[in-house]
Amino acid sequence: MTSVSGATLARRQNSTGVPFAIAFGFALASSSAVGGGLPAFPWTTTPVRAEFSSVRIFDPNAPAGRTGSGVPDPQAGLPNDTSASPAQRVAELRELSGLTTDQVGRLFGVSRRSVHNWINGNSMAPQHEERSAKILALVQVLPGSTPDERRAALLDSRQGTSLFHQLVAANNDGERLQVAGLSARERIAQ
Amino acid sequence: MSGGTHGVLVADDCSNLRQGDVVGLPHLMLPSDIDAEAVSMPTPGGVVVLSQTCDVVQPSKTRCMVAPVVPDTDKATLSAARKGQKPLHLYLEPTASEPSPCVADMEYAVSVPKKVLAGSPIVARYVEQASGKPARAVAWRVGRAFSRFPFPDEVYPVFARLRRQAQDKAGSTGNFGRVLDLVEDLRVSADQWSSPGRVLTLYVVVAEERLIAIDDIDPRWRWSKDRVVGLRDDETESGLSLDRACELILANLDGDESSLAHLWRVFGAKVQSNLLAPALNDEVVSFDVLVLSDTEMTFRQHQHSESLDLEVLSDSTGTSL
Repeated sequence: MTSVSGATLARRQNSTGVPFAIAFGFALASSSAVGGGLPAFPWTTTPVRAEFSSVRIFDPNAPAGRTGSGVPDPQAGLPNDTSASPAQRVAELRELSGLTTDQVGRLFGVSRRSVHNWINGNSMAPQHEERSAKILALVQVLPGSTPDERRAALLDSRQGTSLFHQLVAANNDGERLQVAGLSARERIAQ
Repeated sequence: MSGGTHGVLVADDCSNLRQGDVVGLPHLMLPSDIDAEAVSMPTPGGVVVLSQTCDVVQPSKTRCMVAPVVPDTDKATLSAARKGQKPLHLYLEPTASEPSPCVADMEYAVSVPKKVLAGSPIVARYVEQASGKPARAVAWRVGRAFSRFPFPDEVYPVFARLRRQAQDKAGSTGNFGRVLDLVEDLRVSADQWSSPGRVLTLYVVVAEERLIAIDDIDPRWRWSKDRVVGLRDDETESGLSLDRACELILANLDGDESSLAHLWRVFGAKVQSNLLAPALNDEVVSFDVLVLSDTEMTFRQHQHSESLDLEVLSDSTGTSL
């Protein structure tokens, strides 16, 4: 699986903006905790927060609708809207991100039908609910003002692995059961 | 004996046996050429359990399928078995506790009453976890011996160039071979297999970690030296050779995933034009290549295709490929 180095992330932070990087770091760390699979990143939000105190910070521990400093978030209603149902969050995630239903499904490691069902009110597993909130928070601070621009930011692969695929990689797909005793090359080279 | 089975005897009900275990049974009774008679076949290396573990340990099952260990296996026999060149030679990979590999000859596979095995020593255990990957790999090799798709002889010539490319030195250690080693599966589908005029598709399935889905490609990606590691000034997508496409895939494995996706597409186009199209004939009139990520292949496509497994073949004229 493609790994992401600290240097790569640092480059990406520089190119996409600090608040985004912080939210992204949180989302990745959280998703790693939920699903496993990503290495621990060698940076934390605290020093960055001090250095860039004037910028909007996404704080996972802050009360809903407020930033890390306790000030009401000027862009609240998106990540901090606790009244939003899981279905609304997923629908909003899909709309804001510009991603297809299939791509949203892969962010959660589920089929596009599951995403469709969620949006139509089917229940979500707790880990998916938690993940939807975190990914939505990330998408809301992506650079860009349109779904196309946010989608482009998610899929930007100039530095190697896009943010989208780093999130996908954080999913725990479970143990692979279908294994072959011979590689594809061995099977045709006999 | 090793692997935690030292001194362990097969239980009366075989409840401690697993698929892949080697049992120290000195002889195996096999049906002979003469009706209703059995002959005793010496099995100095013992016999390998072929039945699935869940069947072996099931009290309701009274018999167990075994195959004799090929005695005194030389390097060539081991190598051929490991590579799957003789599907009936079951290769059991060495493990930490069983450092020597083993080959069982499934041509002589036979079902024996469990009580025949009871009390014999378990001399080797190649599957340490009954539900782990090594267990799946052994089961896959057992299954492969009996479940390969019978591709019609008439279609084999169309694979000849692909096969030769994979067999020669460049195919095993060169760029092409190294790229093939990144492929999870090669699968083939046809509009129909039974008569000439077939339209085939080769699916080159690559893990998402090495090939992102087509919808995930960076919309701002452009073919340029900035995005493709190792690209020369004068190189265009359409001008790349198969080997050069492979070289660039290898150079971009840790680079821009969108570039890698485009290079895989070039790879598929070159495989189609260089290795498959020249071999088209009346039997196979069209052979498309689709390189896709494992997240893109649908279950339907999987059901309508077969894994390409070209063990010792001959075409309809009897000419070995």
